[in-house]
Amino acid sequence: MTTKTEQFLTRLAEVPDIPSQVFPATVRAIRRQRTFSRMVGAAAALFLIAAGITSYYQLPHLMNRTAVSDEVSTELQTASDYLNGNDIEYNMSRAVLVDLSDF
Amino acid sequence: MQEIDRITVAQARKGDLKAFRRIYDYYSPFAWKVIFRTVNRDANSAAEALQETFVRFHGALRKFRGDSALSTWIYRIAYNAAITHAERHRRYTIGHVDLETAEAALFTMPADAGGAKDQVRRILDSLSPDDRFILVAREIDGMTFEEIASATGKNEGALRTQLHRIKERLKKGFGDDYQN
Repeated sequence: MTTKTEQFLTRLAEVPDIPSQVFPATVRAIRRQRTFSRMVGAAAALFLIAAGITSYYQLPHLMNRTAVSDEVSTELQTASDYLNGNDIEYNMSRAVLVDLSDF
Repeated sequence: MQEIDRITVAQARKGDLKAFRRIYDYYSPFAWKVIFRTVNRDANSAAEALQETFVRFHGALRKFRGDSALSTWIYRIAYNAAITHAERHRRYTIGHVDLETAEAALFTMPADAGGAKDQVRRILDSLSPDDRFILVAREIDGMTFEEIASATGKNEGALRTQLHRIKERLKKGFGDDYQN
């Protein structure tokens, strides 16, 4: 005699057919995924190329071509001395000389 | 179950779509049963989970080294996809059937085919997606506990206990003297 549980398990096995659109949809999804992966790969490659070009133009031998002139360099040195206090000793010695000459 | 030949798997790994189709045709019927019953909704919802299973499978195919059976591997992916879909549906379903309160009404199997289908779905609704997967994998697809353990990541002892508990609930619900 078949029990209700057995009947239930028999009915459990009865499922509808797989919808026919599943495989084509699966293939479409795989292609979309592939396209996306390739786009990400291409974007990453472009980024690396751009970074490579940028770093090439920042190399030291190329920076020499745009080195500052002597005049600007002197001004920059003066400003640096002032900011670091290197010019104080020189200015004080000059002030002492001026004081002595007054007497 | 008997596995598909290694040549087809190797061809699919290289991106051969015809080989992939052969794998799909071979494994999808048994994956479909367990997905359909685990999701426990309309065919379209289950179809989404089946599609997701084979998209994930295709994406991971290159990593497949043949350490485990292909069927077990597909089952593992199907398990994750089906559970995710079932949980997603359950989150948005109002009036989830509770076995404890509606037991008597639920377990009366109607004679007509249409009503029986609905009743099977409602009875399954009273089980968790995980319970449904294990019940169908073992009782319908005839998988071994070892295969189910590999697919679900649980140990065999726990699965045996879980299946026994499910059968006890069914037995109680139907009023049957159900034997393992």
